[in-house]
Amino acid sequence: MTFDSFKEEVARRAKEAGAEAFELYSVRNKTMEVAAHEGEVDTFSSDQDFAVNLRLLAGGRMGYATTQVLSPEEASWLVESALDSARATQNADIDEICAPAEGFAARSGGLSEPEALYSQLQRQVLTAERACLAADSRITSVSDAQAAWGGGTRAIYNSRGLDLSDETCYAVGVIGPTAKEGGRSYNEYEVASAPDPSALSLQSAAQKAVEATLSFIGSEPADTGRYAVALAPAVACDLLGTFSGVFSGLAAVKGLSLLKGREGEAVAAPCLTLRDDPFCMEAILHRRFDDQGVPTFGKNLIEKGVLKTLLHNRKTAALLGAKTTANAYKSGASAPLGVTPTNLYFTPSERSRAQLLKEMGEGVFITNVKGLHAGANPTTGDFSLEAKGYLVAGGQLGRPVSGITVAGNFYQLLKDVRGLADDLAFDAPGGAGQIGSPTVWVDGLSVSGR
Amino acid sequence: MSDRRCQPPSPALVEEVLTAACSRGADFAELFWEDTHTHSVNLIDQKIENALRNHIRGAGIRVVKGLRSTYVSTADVGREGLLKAAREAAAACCDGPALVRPLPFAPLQFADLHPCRLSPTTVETGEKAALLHLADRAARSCGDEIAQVSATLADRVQRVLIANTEGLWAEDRRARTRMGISAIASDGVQNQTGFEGPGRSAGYEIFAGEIDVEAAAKEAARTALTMLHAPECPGGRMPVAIENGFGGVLFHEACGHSLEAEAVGRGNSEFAGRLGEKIAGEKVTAIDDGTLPGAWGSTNIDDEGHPTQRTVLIENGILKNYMVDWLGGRRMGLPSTGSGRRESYRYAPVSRMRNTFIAPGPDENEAILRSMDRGLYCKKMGGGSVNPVTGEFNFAVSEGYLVERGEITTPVRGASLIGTGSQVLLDIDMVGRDLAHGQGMCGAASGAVPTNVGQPLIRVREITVGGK
Repeated sequence: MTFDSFKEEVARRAKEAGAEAFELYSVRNKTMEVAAHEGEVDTFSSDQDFAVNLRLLAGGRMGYATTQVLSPEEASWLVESALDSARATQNADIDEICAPAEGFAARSGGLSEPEALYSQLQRQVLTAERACLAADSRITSVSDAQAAWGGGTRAIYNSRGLDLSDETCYAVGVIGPTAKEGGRSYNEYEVASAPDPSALSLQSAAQKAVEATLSFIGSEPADTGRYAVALAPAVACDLLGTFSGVFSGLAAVKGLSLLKGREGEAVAAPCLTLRDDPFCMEAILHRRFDDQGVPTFGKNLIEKGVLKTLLHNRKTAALLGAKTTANAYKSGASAPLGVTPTNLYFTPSERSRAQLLKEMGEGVFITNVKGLHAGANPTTGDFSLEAKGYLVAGGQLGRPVSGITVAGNFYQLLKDVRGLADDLAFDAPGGAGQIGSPTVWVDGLSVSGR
Repeated sequence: MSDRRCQPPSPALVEEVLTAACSRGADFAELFWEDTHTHSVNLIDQKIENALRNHIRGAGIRVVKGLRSTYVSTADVGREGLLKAAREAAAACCDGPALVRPLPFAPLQFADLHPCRLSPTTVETGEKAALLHLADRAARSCGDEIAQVSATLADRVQRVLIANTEGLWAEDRRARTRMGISAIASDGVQNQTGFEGPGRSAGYEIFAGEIDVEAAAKEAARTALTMLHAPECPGGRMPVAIENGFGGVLFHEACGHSLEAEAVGRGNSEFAGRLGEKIAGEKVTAIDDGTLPGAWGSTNIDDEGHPTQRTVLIENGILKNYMVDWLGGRRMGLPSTGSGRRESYRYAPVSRMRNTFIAPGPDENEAILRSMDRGLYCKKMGGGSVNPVTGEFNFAVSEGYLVERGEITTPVRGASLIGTGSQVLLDIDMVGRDLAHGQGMCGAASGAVPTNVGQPLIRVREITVGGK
């Protein structure tokens, strides 16, 4: 059965069942991934995915159901399941099945797989693996050399005239060389991403990964204590990404964000501006409409330390008396409508990282944190994470440190920012965009070591 | 809601697909087909927020020549879709004349060790909602500072067919049911959380005796309330006692991942090539067991169609075995331990943990605490992660207490533990007697799979505690 006739079948059955309105959200994804081991591509995987989610309004309640199967019986099951879901729901839902915004249209031209995709990915991983091994005799192997391309089309169609679709795609790679010295192993990773595989520079990522790996040889813990800390862009991105939920209107509705109702207040240091911009030029993903079909736009969440807005979809905006910021998001076809940032980043300053470290004087430059899924609690803002980096003395980078933890609270960290550098960098695409940050100087955080 | 009958592909079609998969010179091909229904009902703010059903159906085809493997998955499970996937996987794997043909299928017979007596698909959504309200009320009854409770009831019925060119034909139906309760305590300035997530490889019969929903909810609330009034944990090096149950996440992260063939076979593990060596304290015996009846990480057969096993990894400190999937076994020259797992048809299988635990040891709990002059008692652990190459691991302590002169004193919050796996295993110097398991989701190359972690109370001589 074609998708178009499935749509008609669902529409007919939803109407018969007395649904007030409905929406079909569908995704069609294609991914390809290759990994090299000892000079050969030893794993290849490719996935062709499709799923369609039905959201319908019945008796003033929203019901959801999802399937990967297109058949007349499945259309009937989908409607029946969504009705069952609506009956179980106890939230008198806000009717958020929306007519299209005036004058806004988006139609996917269809996703096209890059030419010679497999050989491009293959070249990336083999070159990067070779580059690691050739770079230094202390590199004994490469634990990870992977490259992937993913593309997808998203379509939203509803009973109130909305009919939008678009496509996104990007390439991403990871490289992790291993060095062995004095009975210890060292292994640092670098991730690269680009709009398409031909623009992916996994070889230069390999160079950086080798340098990082070698730089930790002989590293020791730092002394336990409180330090001024400079967070490398990747680390600041990790923290911002992990705690981005504190800016979610949905978290605020659920009582899970301490920023609820604090618009207009100073919640961060005056040097800090946090922006969510779907069209940010330095980022790869540019999302034109959110998962409710609302046209997206850029906005500051924090401007010079003052909270301007949380991120909203239409429902959270209505519940909190705000305006939607077009950040409606489904984390997959089967997920309920939530809220997520597009490209979320701390805006950079004019000064270099070297200048920032000079101003900081003494402290630790953290280049790597691990354990974010468990050691960071988005509800409380607390984090305590395995970390690595370099001591900073007299404004200069000093000896490498590993085997330490860095602990603090994200809400407090926002207030303790003393400055930012000019080296804005974005992490790998995921969700509805990317997280970005320059080097951030924080005074201070707790370090546990010896 | 009906449990709709859906037929897997016929033996004739599977044979055609596997023949196509081998048409370019592969020496092995496998088809994994699944039809899965999931249902999650979610409560927050004392109301059912939503109820979500999802029907997943797809297949993945794996083609192997030597140690090179290709995997193509598709949601299109009609004849054309499967053949297209098989041809793509074949072409990406090798380019030569066909060498093998599929052997005639011999259906695998096995006893169902993890039966589902009350299928999730037959339980009314309203009954599920009632269980969530029960949890919510129990958690809120623990004190006015419980500001929010969210609870989820998630179930999954997965039907699988696994067939390969060596004549394997294995079908199974797997049910999993789990409740997650998260309580948030707040004094208006700050929040603290507590979580319990009991689950089994079974159906809704588990809530009629085996799992006490109200007790679990109260436990989550108790953790949140305790932590709300706890000062920050001090950091530094100290002895640590880790409680049974989810405390087993220590072994899971610090050592388990590094004993998976996926890491060992490629030389990406600090324990590669060390079978027969002493890698842990003498009191440490560690087991990974996929056969525990009804346990969260159990299955009758793994996702490569091999019966699961009880695998002794470490015996009295000596490394005895690794967790081995079929391809990892080919790489290492070892037989499969029934450890090939995957989240869904979208992932090629790799070696994964099932129910992993440290076996009971000789020490009394009291003796373990008495032995600590100044240290940390970890009553509840959160999750963690590891880099198997270096063994560097971390995990979060969700409920901790200071131990002073052998006595548990103040609760402390915000602690984490870090170290390297090879060192911490040697530093486990006391092992208690009361083994218990906890449930978690483990994420790795083949997606998120359910795993149990477990242990009795153990003592680690000294470890770095991250705190403030």
